[in-house]
Amino acid sequence: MKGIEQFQQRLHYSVYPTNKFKTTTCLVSFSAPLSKETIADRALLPYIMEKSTAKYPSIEAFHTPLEELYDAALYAGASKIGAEHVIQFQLEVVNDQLVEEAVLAKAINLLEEVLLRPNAFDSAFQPLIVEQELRLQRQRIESVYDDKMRFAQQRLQEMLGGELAIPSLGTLDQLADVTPRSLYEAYQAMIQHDRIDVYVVGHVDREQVKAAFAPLETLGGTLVRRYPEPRVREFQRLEETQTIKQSKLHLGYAVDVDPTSEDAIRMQVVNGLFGGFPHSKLFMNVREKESLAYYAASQYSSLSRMLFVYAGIDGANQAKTEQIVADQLVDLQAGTFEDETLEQTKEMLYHQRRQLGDNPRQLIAWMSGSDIRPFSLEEEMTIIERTSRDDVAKLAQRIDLKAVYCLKGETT
Amino acid sequence: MRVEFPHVGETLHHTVLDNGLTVYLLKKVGYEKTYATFTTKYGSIDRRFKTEEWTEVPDGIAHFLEHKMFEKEDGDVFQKFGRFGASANAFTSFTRTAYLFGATSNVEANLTTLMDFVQTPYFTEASVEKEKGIIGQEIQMYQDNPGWRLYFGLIEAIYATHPVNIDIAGTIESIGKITADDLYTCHRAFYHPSNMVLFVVGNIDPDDVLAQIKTNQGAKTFDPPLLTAREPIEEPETVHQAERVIEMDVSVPKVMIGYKDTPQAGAAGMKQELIVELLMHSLFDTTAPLYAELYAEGLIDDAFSFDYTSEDTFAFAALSMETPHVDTFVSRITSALERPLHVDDATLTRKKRMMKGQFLKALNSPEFIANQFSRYALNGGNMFEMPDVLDGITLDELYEAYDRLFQADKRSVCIVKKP
Repeated sequence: MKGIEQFQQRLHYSVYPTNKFKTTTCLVSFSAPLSKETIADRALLPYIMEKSTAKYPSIEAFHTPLEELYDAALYAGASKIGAEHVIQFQLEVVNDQLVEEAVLAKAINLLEEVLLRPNAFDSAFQPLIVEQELRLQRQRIESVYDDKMRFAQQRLQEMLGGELAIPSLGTLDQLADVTPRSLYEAYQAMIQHDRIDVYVVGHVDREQVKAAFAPLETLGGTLVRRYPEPRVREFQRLEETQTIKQSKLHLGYAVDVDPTSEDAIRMQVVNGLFGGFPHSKLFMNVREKESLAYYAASQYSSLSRMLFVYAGIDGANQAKTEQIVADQLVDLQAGTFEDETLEQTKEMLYHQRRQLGDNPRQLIAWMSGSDIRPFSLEEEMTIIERTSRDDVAKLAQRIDLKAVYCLKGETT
Repeated sequence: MRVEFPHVGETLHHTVLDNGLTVYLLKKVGYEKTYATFTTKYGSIDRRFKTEEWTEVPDGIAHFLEHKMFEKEDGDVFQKFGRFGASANAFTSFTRTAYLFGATSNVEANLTTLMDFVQTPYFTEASVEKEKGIIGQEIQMYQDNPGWRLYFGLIEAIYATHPVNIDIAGTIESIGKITADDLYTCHRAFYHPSNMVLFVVGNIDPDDVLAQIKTNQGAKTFDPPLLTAREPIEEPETVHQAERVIEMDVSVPKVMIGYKDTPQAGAAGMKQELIVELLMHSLFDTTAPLYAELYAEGLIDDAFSFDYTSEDTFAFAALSMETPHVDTFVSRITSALERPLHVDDATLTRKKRMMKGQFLKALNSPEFIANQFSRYALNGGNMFEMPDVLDGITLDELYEAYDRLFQADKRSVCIVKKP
């Protein structure tokens, strides 16, 4: 995207100066290799760090100044991105000009309190907050059961193995070993060894960003980007039953495409045709033609080298739905689809890219993703434009069904 | 008409066309995307209405109609939007049905598609039958969603007769009765331009867009508005049921506490909404004394949220939480709300700054602007006046709202838990 400035000090910066938003948004991102050993501590760490700091030692004490600053919003969270585990701290602040006060600098100071001076003593985080957050984290892990789509997807990913099988929150067993001290060790490892990226979008310039984030320049290590290994498991099938009304059918396909290649961009065209949009083959056939589902969609995860299909159906229609899904993929592999559908898909993919710059958070998400893919937004659009029917067919042949999971309910 | 809102840094163009359609246009400098919503004041609560005579229609029909608007004699409307790179969608609420698209190219063509497809009903018995399977699955999906069941259970507990207590999508049984004729009847009654708002926001030239809309609307003829009355609401001030328990296979019990409020329309409705929101922020934010107290005891955490719903004919406050200690949570909250209120000026000032900040941040989003502005406009308010209205709210008004709202006979509790 034009206008993004990147520069490297000890940390890596991506800055997009613009006056079009009412806010300035900053994101500080800490990346480490994904590992079963550290995931439970790292998944909990951001929830603890965002609650208080040494100087503001309770939730109430820390959130009060954020509210004063016109609700400077500080969110922390953790996620799995391919073979990495990423902890992010995001700050969104109303522009100084709109409220005629210098709020941004003060808010960045609060973010730095969080990162540099956490609420810890004697190499351990504050026990009361840790205890509460541990309880809540256990509850979050248990609550996955109550969100059937998420539950089914987690089960499918467990079947697929590798990085996909590591639950993003960790397991209850792993959580049992988390203590105020182990969390502090995870914090120390994070600030010393993680790769740190800083993203800023809004009313700023490069010099301002450098000055504002200078206190973080002592942190961080070098981490070479890691990508998941291609999956090689044999095909598996699993069905489970719960007392639910709608069955959840989830399919996992291995995609034999290098996530850093042009083909990974072209694969988005394939995914768009398959089930990425309301004009796609899955939507039109499973939903509109056969009335089998309210939702039937596909999603391509380039880093994981996977493509997923989801549908909410009546359990009695499982075999029929699987057959229709399989038929749609066969059509794509044979190049059987309308020219117009291909053009529509490309139009939608251009649209998704062109609108990125209208939303600071989406823009930052794209900026961080583009560190992995070596193409500019404009180059991606050109690759999409040049994707032919033949490219689609050939790439669709590199999609291989590896796992079928169905969470079955009562049939009607 | 051009109205400047310097406090929020926006300029709004407002016109009412000859056919009665209200049009709002907002230019967002530097934006790539244009976003448009075409909204009718027609939702799930409009099940009885008067045109020539009183008509009663099956539950869930507004939502069913929304689905069926996308199917035309010459194909699917999504395809038409897709051809011009637009991402289209629609939603139905208790009081509104909105059709929308976002596009970064071909804005003129997409806007024409939006106006034409919403104003050109085409229903056949075969296509109505086919849709019953799709919406049936949508209903089943919501039935498995504990959050939705909880929210709806709370509304059913609060409201005795108000049709807000009927699920927006209806039931599999009620949608089974819908016919193509019913859909035409509802479209004629509620999709008249005088009952609708068109909002276009983004990288537009407001004069050009207005000219396009005028030409499009001028070329169509409409009968005079048919709708003469909506079902009169006779709802008591107090709640229908104090407690409702829904049994589901959930891992963590979920609870909502609701307080029924007296609805206000128009500008008064917006002001009441802001007063109650300031009040709830003062009482329940992470910076409130009650929050700190319950947090220390492990009774409240990030799973807690609160919300105030305010429309012309119904209003309620709701607090939501997931916890194994549902009963203790409920008794601690309700007994705290029986004590006298203590909010000082400093807190009120801070909450006003906070809400002003939240509002300004939301104005980054064309989707927020179009959807929320249309909601206030259809209720007779103006969203951009929010910062000024907020400034004028006094501590006394918070105290009055507290005494009105948090009464034991206006409280319902809904719980979702394992049998």
